[in-house]
Amino acid sequence: MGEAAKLNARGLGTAFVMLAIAFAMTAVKWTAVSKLIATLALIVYGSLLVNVGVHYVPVGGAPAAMATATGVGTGTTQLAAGSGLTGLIAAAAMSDKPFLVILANGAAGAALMIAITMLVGNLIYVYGVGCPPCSAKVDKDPITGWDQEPYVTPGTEGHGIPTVSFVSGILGGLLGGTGGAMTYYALYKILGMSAPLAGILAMGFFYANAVLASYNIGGTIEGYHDPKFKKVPKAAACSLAFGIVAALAAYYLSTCV
Amino acid sequence: MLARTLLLAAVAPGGEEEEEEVEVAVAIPPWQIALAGIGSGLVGVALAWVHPVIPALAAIPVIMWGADAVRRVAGYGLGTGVPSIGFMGLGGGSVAAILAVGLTNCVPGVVAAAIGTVIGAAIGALLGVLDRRVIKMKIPVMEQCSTEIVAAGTLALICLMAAVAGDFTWPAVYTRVIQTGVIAVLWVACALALLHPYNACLGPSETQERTLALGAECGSICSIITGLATLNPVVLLAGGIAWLISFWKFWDLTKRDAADVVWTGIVPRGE
Repeated sequence: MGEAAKLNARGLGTAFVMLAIAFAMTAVKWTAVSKLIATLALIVYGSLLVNVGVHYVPVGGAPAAMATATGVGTGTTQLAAGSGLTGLIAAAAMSDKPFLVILANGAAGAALMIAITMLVGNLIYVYGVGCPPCSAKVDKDPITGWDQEPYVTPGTEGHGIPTVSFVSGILGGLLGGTGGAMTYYALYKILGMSAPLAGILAMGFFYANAVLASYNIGGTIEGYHDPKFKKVPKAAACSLAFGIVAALAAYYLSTCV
Repeated sequence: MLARTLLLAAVAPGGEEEEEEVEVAVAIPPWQIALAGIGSGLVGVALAWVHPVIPALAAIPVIMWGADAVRRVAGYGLGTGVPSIGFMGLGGGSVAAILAVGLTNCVPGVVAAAIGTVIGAAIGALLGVLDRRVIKMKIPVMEQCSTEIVAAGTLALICLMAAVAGDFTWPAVYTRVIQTGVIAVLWVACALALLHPYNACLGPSETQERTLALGAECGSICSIITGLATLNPVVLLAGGIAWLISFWKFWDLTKRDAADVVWTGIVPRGE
């Protein structure tokens, strides 16, 4: 198995398995099981999805804003929040539909938002700055197999958003949006909170998870082919711990009001 | 795999050998700012029923406390920019603040606010421990500052909610702040007020006084926002006056810290 195939298997495999589990969870009739168990399961898995999803989003930070690193030129938190909150709003618009529709809508909203951000970013990098999208972390793009090294400007870590980062970003949007929608569903349908209350709490959980993930990344990541992607288990462990506390807090809140 | 990571994190040392304490110059000791923030926040919530202007102005020292904590931790370099820690503070803080509002059904408002702040501090401590022990950030003050930031974010949000609702009880806050969606505006305003002062002032010539003056200015803007949300002229006026005073203070300190302030004249028009 070649290097590229390994990277693809790791990145695409993790994302698709997590998404498949998330959509399989819609088959369970959550309103029929115990409230505490349903809340714990949905919020903890939602946190996990958000946290892992952030690792897929190509974040370049300040260096990318100067086109000296691959990714979108802003911080992890802003990028994850921008797409995740769009997903949350998209999910909230489908509040009274079945669970599957809420999840799918959240995923589509977040993925669309991040795709537009990356596309417009790429237009600016290519036609405004005048640099070809390429990555310095891999020799060949794991998806297209195109050479990267000749296009990397010496002294930089790549620029723009190459194919692998773009695909990775869309996967990140799908994961983050699904996670946000799942948290929203748990708060709105299972715990019976009002839409604004569920929305603001889901936003709070989303931000805390996104920041934990961004501290794990430590600034910039190019997507699932980046060596930093190996750190995912640490962030996942954190999101499990935080998700349990968040679920208990939400459950307690729903009982006392 | 996950269990192993958690287990390893629990037994392994936190990487202290590589951490370095950074000396941060302070004009006012952090504990005094924290004490002033907690005191003023709780008094503000307790007197919220008198007039909304009291909690609206009481939020200013709380925000200064949060801004000071952000200053201490972000001085180490977070790797992702200062905004992340401010949003984390309010991410945990919003949960704790809404829990505190829920608690007012069983206990008096000020007690609920105090319990809410403690819950916020606990969430902050959890996030800090996860950041330092599991993710292994090399910041020795991470736990303490994360605790303070989330607690300050919680208390500031509680104050602003009390100011908009006019009273710190579940029915008032629920109908006037949460159901109307004003909470989202307060949430973002609070987060920006916590992160902006240090984010704007950071650099080699950053001083605590100047950052705190900017914190007070951001807090005043939060008061003005509560005034706009309630359309209460007294709150608007008080917030405006507080903004003018703090902005002049900040402007004076900026001129004091600058190497020189010179008038260059108007830029000449090109050919």
